[in-house]
Amino acid sequence: MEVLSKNLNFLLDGLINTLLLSLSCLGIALVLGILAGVLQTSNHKALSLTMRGYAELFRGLPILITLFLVFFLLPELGVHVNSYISAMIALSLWSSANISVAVRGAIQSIPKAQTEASVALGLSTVQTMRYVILPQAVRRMLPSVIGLMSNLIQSTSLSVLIGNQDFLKSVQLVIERVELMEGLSVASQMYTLVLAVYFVICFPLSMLAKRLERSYR
Amino acid sequence: MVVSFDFGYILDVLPLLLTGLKMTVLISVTSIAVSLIIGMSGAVIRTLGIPVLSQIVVVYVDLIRNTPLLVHVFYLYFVLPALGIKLSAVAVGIIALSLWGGAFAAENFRGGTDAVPHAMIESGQALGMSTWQIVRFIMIPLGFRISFPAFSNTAVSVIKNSAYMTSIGVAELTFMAMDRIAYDFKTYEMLATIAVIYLILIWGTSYLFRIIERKLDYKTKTTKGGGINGGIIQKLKFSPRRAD
Repeated sequence: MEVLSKNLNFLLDGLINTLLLSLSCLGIALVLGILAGVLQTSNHKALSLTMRGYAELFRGLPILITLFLVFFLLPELGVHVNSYISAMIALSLWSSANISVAVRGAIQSIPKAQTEASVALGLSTVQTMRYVILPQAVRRMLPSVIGLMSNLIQSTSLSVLIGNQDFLKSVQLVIERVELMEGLSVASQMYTLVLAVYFVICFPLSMLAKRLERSYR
Repeated sequence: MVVSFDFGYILDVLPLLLTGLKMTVLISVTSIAVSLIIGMSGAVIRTLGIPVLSQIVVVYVDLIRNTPLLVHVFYLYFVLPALGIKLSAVAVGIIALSLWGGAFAAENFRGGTDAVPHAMIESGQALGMSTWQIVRFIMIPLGFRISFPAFSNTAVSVIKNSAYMTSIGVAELTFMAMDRIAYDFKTYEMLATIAVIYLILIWGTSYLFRIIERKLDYKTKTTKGGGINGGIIQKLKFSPRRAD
């Protein structure tokens, strides 16, 4: 308990890092994912295939590998970013790929008649998407996006492995510091705290996703 | 600047990477097998609503699904020794992945065991089958077939997540590559190579699962108004193989 109060600010900084990382990834991934998902349903063969390839690639690669690819290869291309930005890029790639698939599924689940009706009303393709299809599709993909959010928050813990100081990392630092300074091990309490904090954040999201899924069925 | 791609180097390190791949496959396959058992047991317990056990399964599933796998790995690897339980890194890897996969599989399979038509369970009872026999001969086979597509996603995720074990030094594919990079600094070649190996492994497995799914599937083409239940009954009434 004393350890906790002494390091509270430090731990909170880590937690804020985790949450900021997850939220910014979600923001980027929503934009990219919706764009990629819409393009996947486009009639332009090359475009839709490329976008499908993008989704399959980043869904197929383990997140850790995407993370390492971004972190170690960007510098070789002359782009120097820190581990936080690397994690943001890698996780955005992964989650946008997942969102794009959810978007594609949602768009395809909207009856064709609606597109035909929009065309009959003289709406352009973009207008059809913007005013008719997407508003309905977004509602249908909401459960999977919320589920993904919970998954994303958990996955940000991987950024520890490239040196980002997120919540997990700050807990590890506290454990090490206490061990060095006071010679006592608080590993079990601190790791239990980590489990509890992640659970408190992710459990409501999962429940919400589950409830929404049930209500749309 | 991008260094030129050294293909010869890849050939040199390929045997090394293959030993890593072997470890990846070993821990993945073991974990998938264990999570299948955990998942199926959990699903049956929840569907039958066995008191106490059912609640334990709920807590286990929710706890694992809402906390990061990396934390489970660290917990098992750094906290258990303090409690007097010393496990090797490989054992920790297999246990963590199995527990993780088992929690997801339990949810997957519950979808299946819940969808087994009640009429069939009642028929089993009418035939004088014991609860165990109903579970063994009706719920598990039917539930498995219904929920296999969901489980196959979990199984593929288990393979992908085996890369997490790099963090505790299990000599699997990612670890072997990162270890070697520290000697040769051929970052570019090494990461590209393991990315390709992972893609082959994961896309290949997904493809394989999709073939199995198609073999097991009997719910997509059902008779009118059949839904999942109608499909099963239909299938059981008539020949096991469809003409189309």
